[in-house]
Amino acid sequence: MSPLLKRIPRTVRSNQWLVYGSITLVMLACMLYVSLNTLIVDIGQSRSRFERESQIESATFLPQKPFAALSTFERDHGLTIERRREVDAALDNGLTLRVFEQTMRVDIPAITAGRDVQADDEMLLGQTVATVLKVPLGTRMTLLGRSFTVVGFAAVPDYMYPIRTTDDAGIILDPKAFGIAVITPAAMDSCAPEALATWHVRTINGVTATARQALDETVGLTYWQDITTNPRYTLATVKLEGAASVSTSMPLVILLLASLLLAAAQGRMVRMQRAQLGTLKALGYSTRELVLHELALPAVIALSGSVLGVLSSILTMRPILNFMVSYFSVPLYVATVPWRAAIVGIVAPVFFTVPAVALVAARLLGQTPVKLMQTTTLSTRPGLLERSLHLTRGSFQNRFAVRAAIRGLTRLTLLMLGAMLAGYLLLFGGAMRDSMDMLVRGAFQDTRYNYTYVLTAPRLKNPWGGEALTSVPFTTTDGQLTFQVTGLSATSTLLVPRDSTGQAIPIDRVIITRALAQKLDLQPGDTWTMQQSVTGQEVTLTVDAVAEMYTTAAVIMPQTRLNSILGTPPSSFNALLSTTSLQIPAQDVLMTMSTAQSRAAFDSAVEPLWVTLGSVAVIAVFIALLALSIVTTLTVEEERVTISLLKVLGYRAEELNRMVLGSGIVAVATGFVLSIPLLLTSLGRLLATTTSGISFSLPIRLSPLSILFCAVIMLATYLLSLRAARRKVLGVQMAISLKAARE
Amino acid sequence: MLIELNKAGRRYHMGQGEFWALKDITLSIPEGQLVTILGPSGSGKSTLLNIMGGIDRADAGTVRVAGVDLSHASEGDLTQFRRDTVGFVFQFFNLIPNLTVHENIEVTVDIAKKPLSIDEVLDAVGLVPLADRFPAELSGGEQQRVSLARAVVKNPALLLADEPTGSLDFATSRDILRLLVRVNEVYHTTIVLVTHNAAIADMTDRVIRLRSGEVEEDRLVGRLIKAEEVTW
Repeated sequence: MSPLLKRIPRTVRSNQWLVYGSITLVMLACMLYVSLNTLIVDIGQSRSRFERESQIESATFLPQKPFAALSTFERDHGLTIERRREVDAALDNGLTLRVFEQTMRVDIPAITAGRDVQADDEMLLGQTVATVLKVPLGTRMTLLGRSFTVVGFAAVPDYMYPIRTTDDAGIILDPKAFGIAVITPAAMDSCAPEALATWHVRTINGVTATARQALDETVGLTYWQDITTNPRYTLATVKLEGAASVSTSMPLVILLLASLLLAAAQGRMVRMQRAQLGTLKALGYSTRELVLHELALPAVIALSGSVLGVLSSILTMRPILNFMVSYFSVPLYVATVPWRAAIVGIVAPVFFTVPAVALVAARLLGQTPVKLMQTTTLSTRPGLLERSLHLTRGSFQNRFAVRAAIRGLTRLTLLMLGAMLAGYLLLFGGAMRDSMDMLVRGAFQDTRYNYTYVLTAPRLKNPWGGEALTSVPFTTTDGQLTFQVTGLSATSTLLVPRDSTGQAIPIDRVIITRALAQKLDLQPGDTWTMQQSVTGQEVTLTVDAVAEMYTTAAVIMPQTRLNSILGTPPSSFNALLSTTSLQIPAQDVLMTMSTAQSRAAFDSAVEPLWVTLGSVAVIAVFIALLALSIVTTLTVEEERVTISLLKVLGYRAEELNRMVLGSGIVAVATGFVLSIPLLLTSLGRLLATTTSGISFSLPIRLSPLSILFCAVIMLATYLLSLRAARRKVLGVQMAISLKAARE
Repeated sequence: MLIELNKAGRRYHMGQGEFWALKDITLSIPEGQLVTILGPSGSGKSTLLNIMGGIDRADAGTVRVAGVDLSHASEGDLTQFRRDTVGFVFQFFNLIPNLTVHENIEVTVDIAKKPLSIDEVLDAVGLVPLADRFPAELSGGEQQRVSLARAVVKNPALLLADEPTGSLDFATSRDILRLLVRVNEVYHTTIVLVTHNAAIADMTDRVIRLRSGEVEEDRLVGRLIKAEEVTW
């Protein structure tokens, strides 16, 4: 073995913190990158196969009259149509299962474990519920007054994001409270003969316009929803696609920053060895040999960190994928680390670190051996900035700290980058929490009702009570966004839209929700045209006011005006709001929504969020701690002669810490402050892209309290790293300054 | 007596064995004396100086300087001792590169109990016009004058100089030696000067010669020559 190579393990031993810290940093960054990519690629591929094999519908509809000859109609128009009955079954443990009858041609349930139903006392249980509630196969469950055996777990494509309702606050997933089940048609006949039947159509190319027209002409449509506007499908696809863009950009940025930190730290280490390199050069080693030798350690660190990162992501892949499919009901057909992500994960740190260190080493070794040997540490010549700085005010120790900061500007920049990275992750957690909080408050501040009933057909008389309203789906003229237009009575007390100041907006005007305003970029005074989903009727309206509601893109206007637009009698209505449960015959109700259930779903959704935020915070703190430790270690290494001298002169450890390392707080604070606009900008862009096609928008909020909380965590992390640095400062021998020879 | 060493020794571990850099050193130095420690490389000169200055500890015997028992003092006490009592001048100056001349001297003033005026000391060492320069902008002699000013400005009872002329040309060295004598005379500072140049010994009060860690010779010289007359 070359004697030079023997230096590597010795360098590792004498710089353990720096080396192992760097490896851990690269490992974490690499693991994050590979894991997220695995998640997206595997679930993306599984989803495509699921949609293909399960014959996902193109749209759901309700006909006004039965088909005269369904198979002829299907053949003539190139469509596959299947009727599916569904009924909600409430279980004792607060869980509601939406029970579907088994379909064979459209929206075919995919079996994710066990087998398909064969007998009438068998059932399939939704994958999300089975995972979250840990229900084993073979469990006996009583549904609709009859006992069933769970023989398999299933995913249904039009319930990929299995939520109870698709309106208002119902968009939040709560697998503990809501799930799906599948039974045989015969079992449905005997359990719930009056169950609501919906129709599902699959077109050859996915385009639905001609199919809708043909269906409307043949059987008349009372309800139509494209799969691309169905939140039970789009919320899954949008979230997965949003996660895909996060998973390709954010971890790559983290990986780059980690590589940059590693390159900088290794570059500084090379420069600290200048006297040794000068000696070796004097002994006859070529610059090329020495540069190659200096690359060995950074390459080993980058490679071992990235390989460990890939291995860790292989180990953690299964639990993460299982966690994801407990939210998105997609069968996990693929569960392997994508080779491309693994290669990028392994190569990127080496690719970024090695050339950077090579550049530093080559530049350094361009000097003569004498020049290199003359100085044992970094350059002693003050830079232009240092020379032009005339400090006369403040205490000596503070002025010293300022000079130390300017001298170590590169180190401080590194520290600032590390703080920015950690601050970004911490504040990401804070922003998620605040935004969710804002969304939840916005969702419930205007609602005073507990139940919403959507009727199967418009009515003129209300024998059941509650507050009557008209609610009709509309789309934008390009068909990209579907939203509800609600006609409310001027005297409505159960739904009170409020403006940004919290003032109630009178229902004598056209009000749009903040979610719709953001998506269509509308403001009061603007005019826009929309299209009724079922009839295609175009309507032009002018915005009078914006209500602060983020959970649903909707229009609220006087009921009589909406009825007039629809051509229905002024007192016509098709939905009811109520504070109490109403006794409406099942065949008259298309959908029932409970605000209490929505509220519980919100609470339930926020619960895992805390776990996620906690994990993100721990990773952020760890990254910050590593970055801070690497930089403080470098500082102590580079300033050891000065530290040693100051110790000889009688300075105490705490004074030395303040003078040599004190300026770090400015870099940490700057990095943290800069991470705030960085986060808000990137998060804003990300959410604007990912929620563009769905009917709600996520407000981006970062409260002062969250900022303060994150700042305290950053400060505590910084103080912790200072404590470790204090030990390093104490460890500097006074003899160093006595032996030191400088320019 | 300002300095009292009684059977002081310093041991280093070398592989499996051990090596005594200093053995049974017993000596005392009164206040105000200008002392030279002479000896070849490896004789223990710097080790002795380090022990007197409280930056190293004796492994045997006792060391008492300015009333402080350095053999048994805690780390904190040693720090306080160095703050209050000792000034150091190093062979390689050891100035802080990113501080100006004035600020390098301020490093000591900042923690001294009763420091002298920086301007007065700068004037004494002839550095007033260079006060705003950085070390890299100074010659070796000028840097050593800064180092001397930094040591003197705290008005220490004891000034320890380890080869203060070791990296200077002889003209500049004479200049530094002249300044050291002046400091001794003006401030009545006890100065212990380590050198391997026997000629320097003749300008001091006393010479202690070490060989292999032991005192080979300890004699009063009585300042036979002036600093300007030292030859190399």
